[in-house]
Parts: sequence; C-alpha cells; structure tokens
Amino acid sequence: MFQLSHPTPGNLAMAGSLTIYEVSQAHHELAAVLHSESQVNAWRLDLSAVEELDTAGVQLLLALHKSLLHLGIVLETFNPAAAVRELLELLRLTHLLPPPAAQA
Amino acid sequence: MAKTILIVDDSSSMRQLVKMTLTGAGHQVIEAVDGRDALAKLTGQKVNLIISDVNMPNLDGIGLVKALKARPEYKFTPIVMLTTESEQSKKAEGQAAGARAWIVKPFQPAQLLSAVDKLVS
Amino acid sequence: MLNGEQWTQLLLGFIEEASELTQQAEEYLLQLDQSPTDEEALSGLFRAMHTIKGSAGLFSLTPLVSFTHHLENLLMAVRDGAGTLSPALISVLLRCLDEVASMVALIDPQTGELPVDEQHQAQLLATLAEQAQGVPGVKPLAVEPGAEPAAAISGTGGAWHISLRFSADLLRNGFDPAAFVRYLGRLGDISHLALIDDTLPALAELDPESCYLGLEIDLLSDASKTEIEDVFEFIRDFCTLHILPPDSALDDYLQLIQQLPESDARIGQILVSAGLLTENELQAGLTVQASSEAKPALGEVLVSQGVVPPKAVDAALAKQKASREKRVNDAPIRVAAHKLDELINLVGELVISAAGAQLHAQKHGNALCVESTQTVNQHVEQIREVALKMRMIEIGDTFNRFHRVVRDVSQQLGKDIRLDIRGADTELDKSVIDQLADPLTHLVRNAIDHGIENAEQRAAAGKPAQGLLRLNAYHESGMIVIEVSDDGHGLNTARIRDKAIARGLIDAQANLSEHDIQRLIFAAGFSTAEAVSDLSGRGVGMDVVRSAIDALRGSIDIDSVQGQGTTFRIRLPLTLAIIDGFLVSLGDEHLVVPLDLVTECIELDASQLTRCTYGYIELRGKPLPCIDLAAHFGLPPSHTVRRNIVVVNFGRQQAGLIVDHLHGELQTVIKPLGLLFQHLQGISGSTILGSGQIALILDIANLFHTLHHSVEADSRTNQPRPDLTGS
Repeated sequence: MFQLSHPTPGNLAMAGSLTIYEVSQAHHELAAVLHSESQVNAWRLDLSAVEELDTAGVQLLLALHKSLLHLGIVLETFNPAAAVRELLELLRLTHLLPPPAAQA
Repeated sequence: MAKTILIVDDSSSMRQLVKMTLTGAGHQVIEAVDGRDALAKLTGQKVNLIISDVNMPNLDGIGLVKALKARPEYKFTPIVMLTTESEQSKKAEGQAAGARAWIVKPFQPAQLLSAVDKLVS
Repeated sequence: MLNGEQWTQLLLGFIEEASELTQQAEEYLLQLDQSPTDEEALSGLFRAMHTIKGSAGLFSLTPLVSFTHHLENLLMAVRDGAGTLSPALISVLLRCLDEVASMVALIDPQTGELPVDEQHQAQLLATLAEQAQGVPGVKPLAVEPGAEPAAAISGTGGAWHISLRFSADLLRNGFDPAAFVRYLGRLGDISHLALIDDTLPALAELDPESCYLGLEIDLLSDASKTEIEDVFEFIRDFCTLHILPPDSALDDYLQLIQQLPESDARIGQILVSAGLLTENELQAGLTVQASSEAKPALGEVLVSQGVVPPKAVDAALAKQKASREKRVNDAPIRVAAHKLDELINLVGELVISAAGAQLHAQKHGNALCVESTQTVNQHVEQIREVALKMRMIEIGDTFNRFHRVVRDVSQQLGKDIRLDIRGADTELDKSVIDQLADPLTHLVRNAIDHGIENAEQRAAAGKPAQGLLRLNAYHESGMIVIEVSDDGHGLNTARIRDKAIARGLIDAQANLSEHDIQRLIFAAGFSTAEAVSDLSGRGVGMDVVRSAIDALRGSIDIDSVQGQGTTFRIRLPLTLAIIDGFLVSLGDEHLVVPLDLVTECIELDASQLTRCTYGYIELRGKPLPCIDLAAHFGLPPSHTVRRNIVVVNFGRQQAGLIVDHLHGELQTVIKPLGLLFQHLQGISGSTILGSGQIALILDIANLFHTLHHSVEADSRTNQPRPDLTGS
C-alpha cells in the first residue's frame, strides 16, 4: 500500500510501502504533482510514514530529485522513517536525507 | 530484519528442515505442500520470498512460478527453487518461467540462509 | 589469508623487483644525463618509481611509499612542464635512488619492517626541492614528508573494488541490489560506496520498474574473490560485475575505468575519492595510457577528424596489435634462480647417467642398444645446452652499472672520463656475473683512480682531455673474455720492480720479462698507488681481484704499454656447472683436465724425464715446463714405462701435465669438494664417472701458480731457467 498526500503546495507526505510493487503507482502520482507544482521553490517531503523502502523506491526518489533540480526546485525530505534512513545510508545517499542540523 | 517466507515442498522432512533453519534465523515461515496449496495460501498477504521444490504433485514448482508471475501482488517476489542434480534440465524451463535463484539439494542450512540473505536481507 | 611464509615469499619477490627497478631507474637517469630531453627515459624513470611506490603500499612499507612519492611527483612535474633535469638535479636524484635502493635492501622479509634514517631522507628531499625550484618548467615542490602520501595509503588498506552495472530487468525479477549490499557488509567493511545513476532519466521518461543503476563499492575484507563473486551468484545474468583485488596495479584500475560505460573522469574521481588512486596517479595513468596503450583511440580521433583514411589507421592498428602480441609472446618469465639450479643439477645427473648407460651398452655390444643410448645422449646434450642457456644473461646490465661508478668517481677526482661499452650482449652464467661485479668494480675504480691521468697530465702527454675507459666482452675458444682497458699512462714497470724487491716479492737480481713484472701487481699485498686513495685504496689490491677470478675458475692477465694505457683481460669459463673434460689416469686415480685448456697430448719415454716433480722436457726445440702429477699429489710413483704428457694452455702460459693413461673426452658435472677437501691444492672439484668411479677435476690455474712459484724459487737461487712464457 502506497499513499501520497499533498495537503498544500510544496508539501507532500508518503506513507506505506515504496517498493517495486508500488513504484508504478507512486511514479504516476508524483509525475502528476510535478506537473502541477513546478512553480514552487521547494518540495518538502515527509517520509515519516514510509514503512518499507527498496532500491526501486530509492531509484524513484532519485529520479524525482533529478527532475526537480531541472526545474530549479529543491527537494527537502524530513522525518525519515527508520527503514528509509537505513537504506539511504546504506547506499550513501545522504543528500536525500535531511541535513544533520535539521534532525533535531 | 524478519521476513515472511513461504516454503513449498511435498516432503514434510524437507519442510521441517527449512522451517527450522529459517525460524532459527528469525524469519516467519508459511508452509505449503505443493503448488496448488501454495497458491491457496497466498491470499494477498505480503510474502518476501518463496522457496519451492520443483517436483511436486498437483502443481509442480515451474507451474507455481508461472502462476505467481501472473498475479500482480506476487509477480516481483523472488523465488528460490530447490532442485536435485538430476533436475538440471528443468532449470531452463524454470528460468523461462521466471525462477531466478537455485539451490541444489542436498544443501547445508548455512547455504540456504546465505541465499535468503542475498535475496532479501 | 596468506600465511607468514607465503607473505615472506611475496615480500622477497617485491624486494627483488624493487631492486631491479631501482637499477633500471638509475640507468634511465644516466641516460637523461646524456640526453636531457629523452622522453622515453623520463617516463621509464617515472614508471619505475611509480611501480615501486604502488607495490610498497601493498606491503605497508610506508617510508618507501612516501619517499618514492616525492620522486614521482617531481618527475611528473618535469614531464608535464616539459622541463629538463639539470646535472645538479640528476646528482640529487642519483643520491635519492641510492636511498631507495638502501631502503629496499633494509626491508626485513620476515617481519616486513623497514628501519629508516629519517634525518637523511629529510635532507635529501630538502635538497631535491631546492634543486627542483631552479629548473624551468618544474613547479616548486611542497616537501612535507609523509603528509600527502600517508593520506594516499590509508585508503588502500586492502580494499576490494567492486563494480556493478545492473541490467534493466533486475528489479522486475525480484532482485533488490540493497540486499546484496547488505550481504556484502557481512564479508567486511564497506569503506566506500557510490551509487551510479548517470543514466537515470527524469521522472517523465522513467520506467520505474526498470533498473538504471550501478554501484562502485570498496570493501575492506579478508574474503577471497570467489566469496565476493558468490554474493552476486543469483544476479549473474542481470549485471556486469568487475572485481579488483586490494591494491591492484594502476593499470587494472585504468582498465576498469575504460571498461565502464561512464566517462573516464567520472569513474576516475570515484576511485580517487575512495583512496584507491591518487589524483596524480589518475592523471599520470590516463596520460601514459593515452600516449602508449590507447593508440586506437587516437586513430579514431584522426579518422573522425578526416585527417587519416580509415584504411591507413586499420593497417597501423593491425601492426600495433601484432607487435603488442609479439611482446606478450616474448615476455620473459621470472623464475627463481634456485629452481634453475635444481634443473641444471638434475640435467647434470642425467648427463652422468646417460653416459653410464652408453658405457654399459658398449660393453654388451648390442648394436641397437648402443644406437639408442647414443640418441639419448644427443638429446641429453641438447637439453643441457638449453638448460644452461636459461642461466645465461647478458653482461650489458652489469656493464651499464659502471656508468654511475665512472660518473661519480671521475667527478670526485675532477677527471673527465668517457665509458665505452662493447659486447654488452655477450652472455654468461648468472652466477659468474654475480661474482664478477666486485672484481670489475675494483678494476674500473683502479683505472679511473690510478690509470687515467688528470687533464693537465693528459694535455702534456698530447692526449685528448677526455679519458677513455672501455669495458668489452667477447667469446674466445669456449671462454668468455672480459676486458677493462684505459688510455692512461700505463704501468710503470721500473717502479713495480723496485717495489716488489722492497717488499721481498722478488730477488733484486731476478731476471724477469716486462710482462712478468706487470703480473707482480697481482701478488698478495702489492699496491702501485703512491698514496692510498680513498677510492680504490682501502688496503685491497689486485691480489683480491685475482683470487676472485680464481674462484670462478678463470684467469686474469694484464697488457700495459707505458704512456698508452692498460688492459686487464679476464678469462672465464662459460658456466660453472658443467665442463667438457679430458679424462686421464694415474694408476687407479682418475683426473679430469678442462678440455678447453688442452692443446695436445704427447707420448713419451720415462727416460725423457727428469726425476723431479717440476721439470722440463723439450718440445719441438723449446723447453716445456712439466708437472709430474703423481709426485705433485703424493701418489705412489708410476711403474708405467710409457707415459703421456697433456699439454695445457693457460692464458699465455703453456705447461705439460705428466700422467699415465689418456682416456679421452667426456662431459662432466662439477661437484664441489666437501669442506674436508677444500684445502686441496690443484683440485677444483670432483665428478662421478659413468662407471660410478670418482674423478677429480684439476685446478689448472692453481697448478700453474705452483709451477710459477717453483720457477721463481729457481730464479731466486739464481739458476738460470728458461722463461715460462711460451706463446
């Protein structure tokens, strides 16, 4: 189960699993938001409710990051769940994690 | 991290061996006696890995792989096939069906665990 | 994991390699001294330092790594700045190479420890930096011993480098690369990991179930390559996998860089940040590769720019490929000397047993048997030749070392001397060459020190200002001749004579030829130098040289013309292991005379002889000094009526050996005499005959020496005797 919520412009939250089973759905929904939200300065992405993440999910996040950069939008993640932090650290993708100062 | 693993084999002693090995490593194990039983037990719940014998009554291992690949909720689930040396010819058939990992019987428990870890750790 | 012994073996291999490389580096440096713009020599020198540095890192020889790193840096700066090495800089570099050589020699192969004189090194490096600043094209060096290179080593503490590129179907097949990375973490410590997402498209073009990723992983682990490969056993069909063992050669990393689809610079930077390569190594490596290996790339560039038609490039490439293949086929294999010795020893035994078989066959008179043993013997002979050839190395390397000696010593003495090398491709036995280095050094130093005059003296004598020293090697009748000649003032025979008399070596009335007087410098305790110089003095004289040559079963002679120069001529057997001999007997005792020295055999009546050990017979109107071997070795007097004389030549001398019977030629393996018999005068070794009997090999040099002494004794007692010099 994957859920993407988008309460206000530039604010997003992911919940549930982001694995090979869910990436197609997640990709679809993210692409739709990107289409409508290309005018903001930054995306703030809440990862606190992500229960499961695999490499397919990471790849999707990387592609999102890349696309946003092309549009001049910063991707800021926050409150990463333990599973998210573990995998991103394993793959040395700390730039997808919030900067250390923001963790407190 | 604990995983949910389905073991499919018509030999109860083999199921016991696999079960003991996997639960000893902290995994959850679901048992099925053949392919048909496996499909019946898979009712939408998440399974991280399937370990299946090739030669079984009702629905054999290759038939099971084909059936799983057709079900969206299990099509990406890794499947480890347990084979004997004499079943090497089945390997090509299994590969065509979508089985990717093979363990040759007889195997050591450690071998099984390391295969599981390589796939789903 | 390697055990201690294996490690020691590896370390010994490194020590050997590093000393050879240092040697090569020195030759390149001397080449650069002659032609400062020689790019090949410069890159050769750079490569040598680079290789030593790389391998030293493998053995954690930190001081060696950091020292060679400085040299490498300087050389790279010179090369890239298209600068040249000034003579002053070359002098410092030579001293630095000495330091490298001494470090290599000081490595303890058991413990891997390397004691270092840090102060000396710091001084050398400071001098180096100072000199380097003065040279155009060379950027000033920041010499902070240990700082930068230490950082470079810390990263290479045994990291495996693993490169993975996944196929698009990987994820769809239920594989998660993260699982493999986690599993890998169990085999060791993942020190670096870079996720390669260069081909990952933007969201709009993304197929989220396809995999676009790759991984560059560095793993600190004791695991074997197979264990690491096995981690990826299930995804073998879904990835390309490259595994480089810890501290692979620079070339391997460069090859990897080329194999991977991303740009060279991208992967290069990953390796640099992982500490597997330094920035300098990467740049240097890619440059070297661009200039040598990667010619095809240049070819492509030329074609794409329309400079060269594709066909011409194809032909050129084919040619390059052929020459590269040839190089591979001709590439030498490094074999431990003791293994070769073992082979040669066995071949030696084979020679003996084959001779034995032939002897038996002849006794039985079975024609077929005789014929087949003959064939066997022919083959054994061929094997022997091939085996001996394997030990043969060119003397050129040894000769080339003297460039340095000549340069240093002549500079020290303020003389200008040119070294001329001839016959560098003459081959001789490795063990002979090894033992030849010291006596040759002595002769060369002696020639520079005492032989060649200084500039003023030369000008006064009407000679060119530059002195000439020549090293020459050639084959002559089964022997190797090595000459050390100079165009100096020659030997002053009057002075030698005076001195010999003063030292009590000869009698004041002794009637000696010029040549015999010259030979006196080989007598023990003789030195011609007026003042013992720092260089070749040291209280060791020519007698040491002579005994070194004697030990090689060789001889040394001298040719000197006053005012014109001196030539020392060393004659050596081709090999020490096997000789062609001439078998003779005294009663029941068998003796072998080295065949090369035998000129003829004469039968004579016992009555023709004087009854003393050392006598004379008349040969074609000339007196021939003779040794009665039976008497010389204290054997019972012979009762044979008709005896034989074997006439042997040694250098310029000729003498007869009186024996009972002649048995003919044989090929024989020399076995050293046991400790118990080493003091035996006139015997150099023993051998086992086909019949199982033991035969002693005569030491002709020693016999001549004894004969000479008996003549000197004669001349001292003032009994006129014919001169020994026959030819």
